[in-house]
Amino acid sequence: MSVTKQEIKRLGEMIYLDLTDGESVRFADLLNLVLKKADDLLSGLKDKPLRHISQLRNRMREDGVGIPLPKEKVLANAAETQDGCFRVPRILED
Amino acid sequence: MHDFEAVIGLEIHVELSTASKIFCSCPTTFGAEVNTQCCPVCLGLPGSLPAMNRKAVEYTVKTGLALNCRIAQHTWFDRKNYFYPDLPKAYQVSQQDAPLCTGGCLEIPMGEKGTKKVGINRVHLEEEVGKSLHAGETIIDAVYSLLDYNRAGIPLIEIVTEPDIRSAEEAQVFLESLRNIVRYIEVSDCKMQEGSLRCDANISLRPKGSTVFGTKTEIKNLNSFRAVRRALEYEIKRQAGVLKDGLAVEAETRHWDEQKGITIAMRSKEHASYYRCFADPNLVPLDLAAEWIGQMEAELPELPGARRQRFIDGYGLPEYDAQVLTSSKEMADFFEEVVKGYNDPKTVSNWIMTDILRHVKDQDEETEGIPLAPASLVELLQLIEQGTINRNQAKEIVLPEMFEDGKSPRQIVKEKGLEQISDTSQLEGVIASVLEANPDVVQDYLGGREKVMGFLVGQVLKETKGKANPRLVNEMIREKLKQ
Amino acid sequence: MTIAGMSVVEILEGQQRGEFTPEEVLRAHLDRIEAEDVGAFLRLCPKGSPGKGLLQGVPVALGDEVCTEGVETTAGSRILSGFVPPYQATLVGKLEGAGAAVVGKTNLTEFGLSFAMEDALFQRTQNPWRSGTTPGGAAGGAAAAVAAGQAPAAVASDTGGDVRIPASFCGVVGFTPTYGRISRYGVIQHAPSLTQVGLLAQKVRDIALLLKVLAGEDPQDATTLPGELPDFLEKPGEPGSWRIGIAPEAYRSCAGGDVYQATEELWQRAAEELGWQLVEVDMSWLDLAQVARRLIAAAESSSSLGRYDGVRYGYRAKDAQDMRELFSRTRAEGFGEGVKGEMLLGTYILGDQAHYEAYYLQALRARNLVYKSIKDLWQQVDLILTPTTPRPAGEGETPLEIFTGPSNLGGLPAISLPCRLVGGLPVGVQLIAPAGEEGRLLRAAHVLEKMIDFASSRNGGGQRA
Ligand SMILES: [Zn+2]
Repeated sequence: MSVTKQEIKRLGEMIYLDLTDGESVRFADLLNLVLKKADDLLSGLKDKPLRHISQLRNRMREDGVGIPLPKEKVLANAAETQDGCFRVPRILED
Repeated sequence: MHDFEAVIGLEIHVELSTASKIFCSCPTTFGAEVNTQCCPVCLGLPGSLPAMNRKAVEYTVKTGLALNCRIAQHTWFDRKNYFYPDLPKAYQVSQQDAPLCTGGCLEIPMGEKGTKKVGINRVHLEEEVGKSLHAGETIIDAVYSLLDYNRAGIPLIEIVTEPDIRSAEEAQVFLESLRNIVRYIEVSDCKMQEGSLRCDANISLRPKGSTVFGTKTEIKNLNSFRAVRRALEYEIKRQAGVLKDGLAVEAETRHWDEQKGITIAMRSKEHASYYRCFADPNLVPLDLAAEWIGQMEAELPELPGARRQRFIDGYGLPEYDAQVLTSSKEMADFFEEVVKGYNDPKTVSNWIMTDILRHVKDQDEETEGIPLAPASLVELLQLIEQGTINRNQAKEIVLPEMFEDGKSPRQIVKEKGLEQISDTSQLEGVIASVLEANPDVVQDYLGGREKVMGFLVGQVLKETKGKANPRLVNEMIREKLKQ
Repeated sequence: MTIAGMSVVEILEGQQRGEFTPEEVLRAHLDRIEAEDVGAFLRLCPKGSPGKGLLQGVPVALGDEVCTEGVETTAGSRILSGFVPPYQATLVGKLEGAGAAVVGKTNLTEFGLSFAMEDALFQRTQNPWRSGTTPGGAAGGAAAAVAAGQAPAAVASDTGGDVRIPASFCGVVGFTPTYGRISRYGVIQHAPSLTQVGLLAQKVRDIALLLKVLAGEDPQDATTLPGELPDFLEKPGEPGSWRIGIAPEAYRSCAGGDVYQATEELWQRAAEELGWQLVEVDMSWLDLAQVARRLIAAAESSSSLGRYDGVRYGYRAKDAQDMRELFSRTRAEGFGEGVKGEMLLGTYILGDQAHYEAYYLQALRARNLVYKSIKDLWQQVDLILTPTTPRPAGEGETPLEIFTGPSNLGGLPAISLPCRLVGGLPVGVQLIAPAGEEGRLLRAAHVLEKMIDFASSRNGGGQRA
């Protein structure tokens, strides 16, 4: 089972990443290479999955209110703003 | 329709009423100026990290306990990955694989049909997203949208029921009961209008008696209890129509259009995809000790079910009264406060359930509280008992004023000059002239028709513009005619 | 001796003796940056006279993934060009609080995702040992800056060897503490479960000093370790004989002949001169660890880098008509090829249940296998000694992170010391310690450093041309 160019395009859509045909081919090759190695080395392992490397537990803070960023700083890095908000083009596609 | 049965499951989101957000110390105040309650964490700025709000975890566990759930001893938080402008990190921290609470149930009152048990699949903790403000009537014809992240990062719990609900009415009652519990334990204000309580519904139909599930649709945009009920009633009819025509129901998400009263299929590629969940490395797992969970349980206030029973046993109220009075924490609290000052539970209950509730219901669905001080109802009841005013005056004149401008009953009585005339010398003249003017009636009375007494008392009341103390008038006439 | 090129300790001592002032120290380093352009810095941000403290007047370079308030921070990516953080990393506050002077932001590969510094997007960074040669990555700029005497110390993140690999290539000390020892708050990361904030300097003592300043619990990073900080260097009474784990067979199959030989000679000398006790251990899992680490990093990247969508900050594609176009083009134009490939790999392995089980979950199983295998080794040994890189700077088949990745998988402290020259270029040797044992690691490294005496040794010939 190998990853196709079409599959790469679909993955690109999932993470909102336009890909050229050339890129899709190169990335398909890349994935196939890595996945082959993973198939060879990782399949059949039965160890418990290690989800958290930190051995700490229950780290929580008290419910205290602090000072938020000034609005100018919130918006300072945005490419487009309007009425104190971040502006984006229409959300729905045709 | 009789040949189909509806199978309904609800997914409810409740914003927790913590002072600060789930992962940062930004305030959670509703209605603040746009983008003024944000910081690097809730804006998802690169490099920022989450710091879990202890209260958010406590509130989730308390909700789970109130809904009879098992509380996980080991749990963690996942990243639910999807793209949307209102989601600053392109993932929502949520709990996919290890929800804090699972396997609960809620018993809901179904009137004469008794109670019904609805299973709770899970209660988990996650973070709220920001708000998109669409330029244009709806998201569909908006040319652009504006993003406000004040809401992003408010702690949110998701409550998922088992598909145990069988009608639109049950769905509404469930939601009301759930809201009641959540407000009882004071973890959220549950205002549907402000979006702090939101509900999506999954619904399918199947032939009565069948045990397999039909294809379900998901209904979104249910912004009030009424909407939940109407949308489900509509959707049941719609699906039944489709099935009766021999067609198949599409598995899809549908949007409730409140104005038109219909559900509309939504095309939403964005949310259709798999969420690529995995454990968020930036938050460490929670290991909840049994003692800690026990402590949370001990901190729970008396829940509606228990309180209802106590109202029956302790105050000697009929089951119906107890049910209505405990259907909101505010009302039950109000009742108990009034009874403390006026120890006649049934009378207090009658007042609340009839006259007071009528006033409250005239107001908004969302307003849960009774806008009266318990002490003022105590005062009103005492005025009646003391004979200063009569019941009718209390209901028709004083109570509406109390709601209107919050004045004390005594003050209203004084301002309106409602004090009953209990001075016999004042009444004697009036009674004499009434008797004189109605000799036939007097004869009837003396002839044994006691019923006409009411007429005579009424006449006296009329003459005194309702101020005469009817009990006193009654006694005085009786006395006079004995002579 | 000129100021630029001195170690942190030398600078502090020189200031204490009144030989030069903090201002002169900063000036000397800025002059060196100007004089010898190795492309280490993306931008300079020298601040005025810093306050008092443990690092008073010590210039420190920061990898450009470390957020500096009011100073552009890009993590080496076009998608963040122009981003000026309205906040700073916890570690920046700690450095400045200790009197250190942040001189500038150093180059790295895009989001630190590649260990090949040639992949860096904004500029080419040279290995100060030989122009035209790679300094290694991801923190190539930081290592080159320290090696070229442009900053006596640098701070940069490490998810698989990003600090130790370039340290090895550039002949400086590179260190990563236990996972959670130094706050990651404000450090731009692609794979947070693997990220340890690392340190670069010329000497082990410098590292110990920096660690003392930077270590500690941070309420803004839930994974930071609480409690008393261990003694990093001061602990008296070095045991003469650490038990040192080595895996000659695994090293020979992964490292080039020259590198293997250099490492073998080193442990033999350590056994003879320091009385270190050599214990042969099994590390047959190196390849498995390499692939597992890559998959985990890719999966986490596909999620962590989702936020770059052009809405709130960073690069934004022009004239997009709808949201999909805005996001898809912003990301297509903003990310470089290497990052796109890893994000797609990560999306693939998380992207449906079957792939999740076959790859992501298996990688987590492998992570546990490595974690437990190393944990078991601590029964037999006190430290593990490996080559840092399979080769000196230059081409090769073996993944550069083959020896450095496992300590990130296990969250363990590790250090790379310059070992000797191979073909005229430095290579490092790595020590790995159990979690929480930075003290043991640094004390042993200190002894080993003295024995190697890289700067003046015959084998090392450790002076840059
Ligand atoms: Zn915030």
